[in-house]
Order: sequence, then structure tokens, then C-alpha cells
Amino acid sequence: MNDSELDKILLSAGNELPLPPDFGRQVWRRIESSSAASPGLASWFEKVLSPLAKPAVAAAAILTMTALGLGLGAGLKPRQEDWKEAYVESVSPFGSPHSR
Amino acid sequence: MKRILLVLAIALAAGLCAFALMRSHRHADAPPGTLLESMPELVWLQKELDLSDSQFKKVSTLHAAYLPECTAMCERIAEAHERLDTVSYGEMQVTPELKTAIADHARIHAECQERMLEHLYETARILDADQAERYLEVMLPYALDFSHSEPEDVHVR
Repeated sequence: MNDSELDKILLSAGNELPLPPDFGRQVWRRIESSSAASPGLASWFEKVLSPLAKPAVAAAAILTMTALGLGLGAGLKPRQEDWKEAYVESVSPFGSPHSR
Repeated sequence: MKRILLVLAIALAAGLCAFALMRSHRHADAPPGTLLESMPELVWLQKELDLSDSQFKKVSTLHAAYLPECTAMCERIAEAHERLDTVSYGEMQVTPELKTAIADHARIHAECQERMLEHLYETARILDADQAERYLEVMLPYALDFSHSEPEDVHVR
């Protein structure tokens, strides 16, 4: 699409307000700058994560995540105080409603 | 790119599964089918008071028998609260209905408090002297709970 085609489309839209003389150029500049930004981000993303395509790195990533999950799960063990609260709640009719 | 996303998804799923598995394992803290699995709240009692197997069995039986009673009391208290709350907003004076609701609320509270104390003493009687003292020291404040009736310094002149 060139400038004259763009002008035709804009005129056919029925907008009667006068456009600035370099309106078409400004529109194209914005389109160009936005299309230039996206591939940059995508290529950066791909570059950072591309090692994951190698089987050894992929296996290491999966093992790391599994270990992290196990570690976090073990670290969040209920505290002694939580068990005490659970017992108090189970024998007190005045606390929060019983779940059983 | 598809392959990378697939690896990411698998790694994330593996991490989540590992977390859930370890968390459920730690939460149960007891072999399946045992008393501790069905009543995990007894973990504290067993560990805090260092109960023998025989004591733990007796305490668990007593606890299991008390639980349905406690649930029923909990419901009675909630109903009495609700009734008192509803009636107290009805009129700008102490009506006979409000008087009844206040009396019912106090009576139900007292009955439930008495039953809870009875259960605590029954449990304490299963324990030896030191365990019973420790148990009552921790539990009695919850049964007595003066937080709503203690004057504190509200009326200090």
C-alpha cells in the first residue's frame, strides 16, 4: 500500500476534518516502529530459551524444577503451632465451624 | 520454538507435581489408615505430651466420640448467635423475645462450655500427672475464654 491508497481509504471514511500535511508519513512511521519492536522481543526470547531445545539442557531444566518443587513442598511443613490450633479448633465449639 | 515451549510446560508441570506430592506427604504425617491420618489434629497432642501408644489410643477414642457432639454444639451456638443478632435489631427496646434470645444464648454458651471442660478433664484423666498439668495449662484458657466477659480497664475511673 502506498500513500495515495492510504489517502483514498481515509477520504472514503468520510472524515471531514482537515488532516496535517505529513499525516500519511506519520502513520507509516508508527507502523514501521511498532513492527520493528516485536521481532526484537521475540528473537530475544528465542535466544534466551534456545538452549532448552538441546535434550541435555531440557532434562536438566525438568530435573531442576522437580527438585525445586520437592524442596518447597518439604519446606512448607506445618508448624507445631498449626497442629495445636487444629486440635484446639477440633475440641472447642466456640471457634470456627467444624469441617466434619 | 514449539519444542522449547513444550519443555517449559513439562518442567513447570514436573515442579508442580513434585510440590503437591511432597506437601500432601508432609501434611498427612502418618501412614494411611491410622488414627493420625483420620484425625491429624491429634499430632500435636501426641508430640507435645509424648503419649504412649496406650494413652494415644484412649485419647483418640475419646476424641472421636466427642467430635460429633462438638459439631452439634458449634451449630447450636451459631444458631443462638444468629437469633440474638436478628432479634436485637428488630425494635428499639428490650422485648420479651429479645430477653428470651439473651437467656437462650447464655444458657447454650454455658452448656457448651461445661461440656468442653468435661471433655478436657476426661482427657486429662487418661494422662499422667505431668502430662495432665501441661495439657490443662494449655487447653483451659481456650475453654474459659474470658475475652468477652472480662471488664479489663473499660470501667476504670
